[in-house]
Amino acid sequence: MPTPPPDSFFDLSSALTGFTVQTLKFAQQNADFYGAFRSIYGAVEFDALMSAYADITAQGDTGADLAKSVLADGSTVAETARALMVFWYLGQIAPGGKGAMQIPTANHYAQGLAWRAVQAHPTGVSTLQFGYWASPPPPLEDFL
Amino acid sequence: MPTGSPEYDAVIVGAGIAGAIMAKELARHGKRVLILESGPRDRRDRVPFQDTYLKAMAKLPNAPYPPYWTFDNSSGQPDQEAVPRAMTAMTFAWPGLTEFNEHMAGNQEAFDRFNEQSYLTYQTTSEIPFLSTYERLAGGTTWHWLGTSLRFAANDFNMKTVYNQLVDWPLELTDLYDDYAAAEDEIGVSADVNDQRAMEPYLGVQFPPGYEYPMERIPMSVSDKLLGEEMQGLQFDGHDLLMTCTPQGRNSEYRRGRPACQGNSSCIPICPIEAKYDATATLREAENGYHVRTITQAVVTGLEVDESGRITRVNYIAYEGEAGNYTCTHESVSGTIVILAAHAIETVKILQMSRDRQGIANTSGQLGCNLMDHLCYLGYGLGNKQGFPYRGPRSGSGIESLRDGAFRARRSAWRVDVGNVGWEWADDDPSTSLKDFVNGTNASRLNPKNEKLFGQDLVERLNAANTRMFRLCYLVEQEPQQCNRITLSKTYTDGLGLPRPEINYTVTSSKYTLRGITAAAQMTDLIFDKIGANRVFPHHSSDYSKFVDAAGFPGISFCVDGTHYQANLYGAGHIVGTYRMGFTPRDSVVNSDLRSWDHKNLYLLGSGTFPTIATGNPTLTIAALVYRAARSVLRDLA
Repeated sequence: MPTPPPDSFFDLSSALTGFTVQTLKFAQQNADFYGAFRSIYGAVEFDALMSAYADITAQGDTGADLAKSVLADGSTVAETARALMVFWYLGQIAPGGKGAMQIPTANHYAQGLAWRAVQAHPTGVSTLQFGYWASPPPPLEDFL
Repeated sequence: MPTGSPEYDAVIVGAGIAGAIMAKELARHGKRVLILESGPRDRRDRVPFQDTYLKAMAKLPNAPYPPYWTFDNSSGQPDQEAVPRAMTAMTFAWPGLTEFNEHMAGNQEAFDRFNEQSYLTYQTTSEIPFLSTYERLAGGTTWHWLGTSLRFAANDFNMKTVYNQLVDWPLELTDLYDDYAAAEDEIGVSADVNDQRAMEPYLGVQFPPGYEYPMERIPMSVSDKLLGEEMQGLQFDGHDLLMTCTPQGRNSEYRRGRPACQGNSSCIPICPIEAKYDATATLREAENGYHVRTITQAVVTGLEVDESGRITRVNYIAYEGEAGNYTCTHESVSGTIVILAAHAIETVKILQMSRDRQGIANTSGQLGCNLMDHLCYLGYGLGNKQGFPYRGPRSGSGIESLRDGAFRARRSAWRVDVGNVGWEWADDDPSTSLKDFVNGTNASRLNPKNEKLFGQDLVERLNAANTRMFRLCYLVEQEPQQCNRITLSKTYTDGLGLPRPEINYTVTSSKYTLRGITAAAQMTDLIFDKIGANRVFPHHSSDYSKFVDAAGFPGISFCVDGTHYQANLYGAGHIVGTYRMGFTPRDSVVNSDLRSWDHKNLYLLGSGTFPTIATGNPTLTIAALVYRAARSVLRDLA
């Protein structure tokens, strides 16, 4: 069993991605974004990101302010944070942040947030019924 | 050499749609049939293929299927594999337009470097790689076909007579009515014949009275309906721009053990639920219902011919094991009739390898010549209104009203495949735009201010762009030219020591073809000028599809009718023309029954027999022609 992520991982990820903690937890249940990011991207970089997050929240920042601080020009963890965003959205990650991107498992791809953000489903993974495409999708809010 | 009666009534080479339908037809009439298939068989109900697809960074047509290819995996090299094949990845490895012109054009050393990695090798006179690919495994290339099942138009068969262009086919559309119906039944085509009859003012009659498709049509997507409405009133070359629901080889209901489409949107390269037809369905029925025997991992190395010109034996290598470490045995089998159904490149290779590589079946000199594809011009942009792509079959509609017309006396025609997956083909979205919005880059050209977004802003921008993406693929008819040809490489071999194909391929030598490409660009302007997203994205350029990758993807530059153009081109997967049918042994390789003029017990199936590429996707016509050829084979065997 993978290590359960701390709540702070979901809070930070929610601020960065724009998706609710509930949606992120559902994705994490199906694909270990937390463990895979830490092991593939790098524990040192990931722990630094989480540490920076803890420092910023200690100053009282939340939500958008928090994300803005993490991603600010000159932030030492901005690159890691952006790699985490891409991983959540597409399931794509480069070892150590360098080299060729990879998709660790089929579920990392299938749980990618990008498909929800465009009110669709992952290409190749529909759980819908014949003819659904003839009607508009539910509103964007329902996908977040 | 064994003597006596042939072991089989028919030996078929290739277990794709042509080979499988032929096998089923012959076996259904009590004939003993053997299929030799060069590649492996799916033994795990497509699960590993689907998993490989989902994990693939580039979801290209070849991605799910072996042999797998990566730059750093030597076991994926064509000199090691028993059944390497054309790879989309190598198309991407070809330099972009500027780099090609500066460093590769005509340069033997640069071509050598490319050829070492590529199963399809090229002569230095080539200006572009052959842009399409195929599969070598049981089921063939229908594993990754789209499912589009249009009949050809009447004038597609009579280009020389009607427009004084290209060549005529030795048969007419009406000759194929029953065979088209049989093919539509076998594939299981979903369509409303009235949608197709509505095209009669543009395409002529395509159906006999009373005809009905096997299944009801697949409904149009929101995106297709919107584009159709927005295009209303537009005309090009005197024809209305009309959106038509495409006849599709995917189920709209449960039929013959396969489910209805659930809109996975991944038809190319794989339907995970087999709602889209592929030839494994026919192969199963041929094997389980009619005792057809299939030997997989059997690579045909040549045909033996006796003094009378009859094919006496089919020689093949049976292989086991992994790349670079195969156990091989040389085998031979005989059939009263021999049928090559190995697609338009491998079939040529087998014939050219025969008779100690002197070649057979080529009195006409046309074998391997006239290699064609539908050259795909991608016209793409953003609309003012949201169409919500990435939902439903990968493509379910098209603009068919410009497939034929007086303009064909001067320029090639096209149909327009209307995409249902945003800019995925053109720009790898939503990946490219997502990375741009996160990292502040502008590879998609959707982030001209290089903004770095996060949170709600990121969601909304990604949504605003991707839900308005439209992509048109013009399938431009390519002129058959003898200079575009396949021969055997004298330098490069595969993992069994067999020669790899060597190709010469050009596009700009045909003004007829080039004018079709420029017409596609002009119609794209017409459409996006009307629906374009200038209200939603006022700061964006409006000419996405005119952007030509300098470094990243094959392109051409040319001057036609006094104007200079450049364009990226893509392949349609339609490999056509390399053993054309015709009227006489002097002008063609096979007759209208697909029988070799030179060898009376040899038939060649597939789109290699098409004299012209026409204006429809080829698979349905490939299948229809198999029924015609099967009647001839059965007469031979009677």
